[in-house]
Amino acid sequence: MSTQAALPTVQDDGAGLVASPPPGRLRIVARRFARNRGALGGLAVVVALFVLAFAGPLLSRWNYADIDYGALRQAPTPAHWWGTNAIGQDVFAQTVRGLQKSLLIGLAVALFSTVLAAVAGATAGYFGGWADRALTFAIDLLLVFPAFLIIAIISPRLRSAGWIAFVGLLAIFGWMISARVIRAMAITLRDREFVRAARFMGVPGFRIILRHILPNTASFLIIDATISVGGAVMAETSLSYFGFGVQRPDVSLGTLIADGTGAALTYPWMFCFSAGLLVVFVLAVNLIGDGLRDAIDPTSVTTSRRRTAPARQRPDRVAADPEAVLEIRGLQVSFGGVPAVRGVDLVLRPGEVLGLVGESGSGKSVTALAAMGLLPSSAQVTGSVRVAGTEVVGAPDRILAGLRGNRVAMVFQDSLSAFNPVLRIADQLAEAIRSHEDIGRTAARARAIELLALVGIPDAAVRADSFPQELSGGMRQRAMIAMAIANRPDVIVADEPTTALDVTVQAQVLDVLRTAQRETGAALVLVSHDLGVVAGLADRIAVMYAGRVVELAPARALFHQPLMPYTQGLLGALPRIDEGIGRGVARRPLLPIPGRPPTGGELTGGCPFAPRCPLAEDECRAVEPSLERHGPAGHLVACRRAGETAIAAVPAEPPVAPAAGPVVLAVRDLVKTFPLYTGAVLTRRSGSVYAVDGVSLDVRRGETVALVGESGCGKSTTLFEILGLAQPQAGTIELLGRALGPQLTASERRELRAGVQIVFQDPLASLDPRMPVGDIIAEPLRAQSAPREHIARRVPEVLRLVGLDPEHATRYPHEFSGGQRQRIAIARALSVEPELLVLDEPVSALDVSIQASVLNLLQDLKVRLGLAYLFVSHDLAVVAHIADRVNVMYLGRTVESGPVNEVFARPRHPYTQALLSAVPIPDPDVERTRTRILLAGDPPSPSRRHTGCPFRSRCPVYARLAEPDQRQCAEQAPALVGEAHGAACHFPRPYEPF
Amino acid sequence: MAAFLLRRLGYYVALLAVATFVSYVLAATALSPRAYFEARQPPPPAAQVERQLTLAGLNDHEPLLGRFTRWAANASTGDLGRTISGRSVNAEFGRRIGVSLRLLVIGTLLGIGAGILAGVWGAVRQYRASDRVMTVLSLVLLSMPTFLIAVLLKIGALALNEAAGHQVIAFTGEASPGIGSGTAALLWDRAVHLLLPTLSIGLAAVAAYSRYQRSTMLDVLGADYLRTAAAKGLRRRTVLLRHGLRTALIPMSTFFSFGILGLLTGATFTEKIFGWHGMGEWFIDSINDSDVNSVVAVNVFAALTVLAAGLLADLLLAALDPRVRHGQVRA
Repeated sequence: MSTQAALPTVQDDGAGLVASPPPGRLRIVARRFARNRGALGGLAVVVALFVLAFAGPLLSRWNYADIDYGALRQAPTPAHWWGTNAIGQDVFAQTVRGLQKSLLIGLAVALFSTVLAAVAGATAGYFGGWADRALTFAIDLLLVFPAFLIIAIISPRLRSAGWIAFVGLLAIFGWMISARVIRAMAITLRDREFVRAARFMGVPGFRIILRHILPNTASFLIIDATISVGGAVMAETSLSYFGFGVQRPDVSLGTLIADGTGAALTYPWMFCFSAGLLVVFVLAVNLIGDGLRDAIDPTSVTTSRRRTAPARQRPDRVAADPEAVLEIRGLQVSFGGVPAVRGVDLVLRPGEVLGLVGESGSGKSVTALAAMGLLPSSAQVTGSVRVAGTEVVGAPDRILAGLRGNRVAMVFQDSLSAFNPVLRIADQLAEAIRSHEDIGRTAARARAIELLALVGIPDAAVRADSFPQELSGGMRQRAMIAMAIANRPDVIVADEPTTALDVTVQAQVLDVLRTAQRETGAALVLVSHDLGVVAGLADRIAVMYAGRVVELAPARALFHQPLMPYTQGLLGALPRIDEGIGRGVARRPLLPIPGRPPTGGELTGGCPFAPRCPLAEDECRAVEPSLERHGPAGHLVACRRAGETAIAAVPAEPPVAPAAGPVVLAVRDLVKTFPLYTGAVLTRRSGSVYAVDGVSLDVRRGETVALVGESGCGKSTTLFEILGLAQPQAGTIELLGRALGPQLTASERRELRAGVQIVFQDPLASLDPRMPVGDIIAEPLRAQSAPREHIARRVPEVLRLVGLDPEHATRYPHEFSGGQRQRIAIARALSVEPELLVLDEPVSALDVSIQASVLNLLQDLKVRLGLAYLFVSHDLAVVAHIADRVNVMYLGRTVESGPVNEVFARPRHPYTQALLSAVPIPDPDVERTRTRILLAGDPPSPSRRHTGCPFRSRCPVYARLAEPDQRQCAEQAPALVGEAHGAACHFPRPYEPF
Repeated sequence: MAAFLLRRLGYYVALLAVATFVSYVLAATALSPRAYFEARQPPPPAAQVERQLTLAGLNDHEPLLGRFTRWAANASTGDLGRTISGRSVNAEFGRRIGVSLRLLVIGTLLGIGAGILAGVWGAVRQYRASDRVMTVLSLVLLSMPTFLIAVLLKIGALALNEAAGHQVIAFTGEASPGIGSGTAALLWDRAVHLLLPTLSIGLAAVAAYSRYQRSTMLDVLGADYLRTAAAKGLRRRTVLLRHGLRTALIPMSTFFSFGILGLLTGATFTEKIFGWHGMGEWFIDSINDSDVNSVVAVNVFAALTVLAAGLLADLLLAALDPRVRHGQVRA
């Protein structure tokens, strides 16, 4: 229990910060809608027309069927406001009646067809399989004919059945396209984490559709229903016009227009009122639909006018640095009045590497984009950015195009979306070359292939013809670097260049980036949230917070003598893999920074870090300090109390032996394969993906077992196999003492569901945005059919348990910060008092300062509740911090397992060794003196079953083995050898990564 | 690639077969040829009605499935049967198909061409005056059923002709009777007759396509790879055309296959209103005459058109999107 006692009390990541809840979704939508003049006008017209249609008959003394024999074809008079028709009927009464009928039919059809589309689309999309195929065929069949043809054919039979049958028919032909959209949405939602979470809790399919799928398609359905009112009215009038719809003596707008057409020029009143009302009504409905779409869709821009960037202002307080290749002075960027960057000054000399670090929302990416002049047109930019002496802010397209790719080039974060999916890689590279150099197509292509080879893409000439999505993430990022250096720029801006990559691939790509930078002599701006990545590369580091640089220092100084309390806090919150490992010292508890970073709109004028700073005084809250020199040359900091120690070192404790309780989960030789289909005409099964191909692990009560490995190694599949509670294809899973298999009864299964719960990576994705927190937490309890009183008692209990306020139960997930949302997800998992918690990358979507508090909470809960954790993570530093034992996976197999201290200190398998050596360490001295084991290439495809050792294609040990030894690796699959610490390798070599 | 198209083709043939069956059953049960014959003046004797019904293969005393089988057997040899007045459906079909296709093809080309241009222009100039004007115009057009557009055009032309005192815009039928000889005069006459019907179905198509193109283009304008293209040093125009429009056209192929449904419906109204003797007019007249075989023939024509458009859309998609060609995305 001593771990718990030592935990600092600053666990809070802003639980108290949501004082006033942000406006609800509905309010936001209503406000955006009200700002749209067209939509408001449409709404007014629709309301007016409904009033006219239903109150109109009360106003006129004529009934629509009455005939005034004394007034045939009479022009409008006080007796007949809108005149009379050929047989003396009052046009006003007729039109009002027609409008009423058309509106009723339109509304009924829209309602009916939307409900049909929602139910059919959601069911087919969610369940898939035969339901889906039947729906798709039915939709295609109904779309083979224009609905008009079929309705017209059937209409003679419908004459007696009246307009209700007509409504049904129109609806049957009006739902297909919406159903397709709903189906597509359901297919996407099916794999969203909150739906998956509900499945793992045991919520039945139809309830998931009702509670999760349909509410999340609501905005589309509302828009669609609105627009289909207009469509239905148009269809009704068209059919009625030709005599296939509403039958006389009853009238609709369609029959009235048909009657009036012939006399439109001589007796315009018989035609223009009905035709006019039809157009006005449908137009008004369409305007409402458009307005709703703009109001509901958060990506649509409602600002009425495009903002033009104000003329650049040249601040002349600092003379231009003649040596600088990139010079940013007084840069301010805001979006719609909300500041994102608030005065940044940075100077980059040739060949220099500047690290730009900060948490999400700190303004680092916006600064990087500003350096390229690539900010969206909605950004207001002031200040100055000079690239090789040329001003970028406010520069015309011609100047910018000349600079970009030529003097300053960019490496983007997400290489999949950053490359055009429909063009070949070589063409995209050649385009970059040809836009600055006058060379022919073939020459440019040859240069592109050269560049691809230069960044280490094997078979560059062949790969050059690939489309981006055919390359692996690492290869794409290499191609992106090749494109950036194509014209030997003066500055390369790399925005989170390795964030989405696996750690061994990250090491390769960083290596390429470093080489490319040295070879071209370009200066590099490396934007990253990862202090470890920056530590290995940067000469100087700028730390950003709330849109400003708060500390700027040479790399060593920043890591070893951070002056700003925020920098100190970041380093204290960061788990380090090399600390304590194998030295018999327990882990240092992490020190989270309380609260959360402010958003642009929340700034009050003082130091933005003051609310979270342990050293803050009144003066700090009143005046924002500027970035000034402090201490040795080149060390700048924006803090009144710079240099004071903000965070007291917490002594490391003696190691606590993990409690060896009873085994709650035992997995032996688990296998899971997915069928692989080929053939476009006759699809057939052509092979299998061996996602999991021999995983063994034990989890005991009170311990944390980590499952690590790169993406595609089968970690998630292993989890889903365990949570699916079904009999595995091969191997065994024993959960809470019961083997998973068909012999389990329904009640046993339900009991098991309560015994194991999951927390997903992204709390925003795993919590249904349309459910209040209380309902979210109650969902597993409801799936267990827990009594109502129990639920009412349990929800506040678990909220308190995870450090939230019970009053938060009525709020919605979007009202919380990332860390709080993850606490909600943990609360949900704990509500049914599970024994085993499966944590799938639970902190990797969180910023460092928030991550620390969630990790501490997990550690604390484990001890207090005696839980067992199965913890999946790609971040080995986090694993080193939280896990007791670790299981390393490669290509679906366990290649090494044992106590974390043992495995991380003395890894035996060459893969584990490479993995550990690739982890960036946030310390420039350590990071720059380590020897790295760089693996060649990407993991091979899991669709082949590998004979022998699956790792040998990338294994550095295998490459150096003698012939007979190599044969052993090729022919004989190594078994996991070793009692507590096992490795599946024929030729383990000793290695100490730290 | 070829396999992908072959698979689609097979699927379309299956759809066509089922659709033909469904439309035959619907037409044969909903329409009543017996009543058509019995209502003749003077009332024909029952035996003669029976004989005429059997002759046309429309006798409702014979089981529906039997009637369909016989019709289908003939249809598979290319014989679509007789109309209710005893003429050959094939001959009627041949006479009318050209009329409808002319209208459809011109309407489609106009709709797609002008629609794409207007959509791209609107997207690039989002929320500027020109975009707003086009948005309002297209919304107004989309709020009018085709028949109303046709009727308004016709009334407008009538008013114009009356004001001018002679016929400026002719709008009944495809050509004026007895225009005389002279290729130029004939061509001019046809072109004038084409104007209003083309506008009737083309205007709505332009409005619809421009809205779709505008929204797909807007989606693409926010894409990361457009930013990458700009970061390479491409000029804005090149970025928009080579990277933006190129990808924004891909989803249009799907809209194209849906759009043909609207065009077919619109063409039916247009033919009827402007007195063009095409498939649409035939259809409406046939329903009023309970002419089952003719109705089915028009349905087959509609289904063929829709499926041909679908296949064309697949081809376009494969041409525009290498991911489909390389089998990474299942269409």
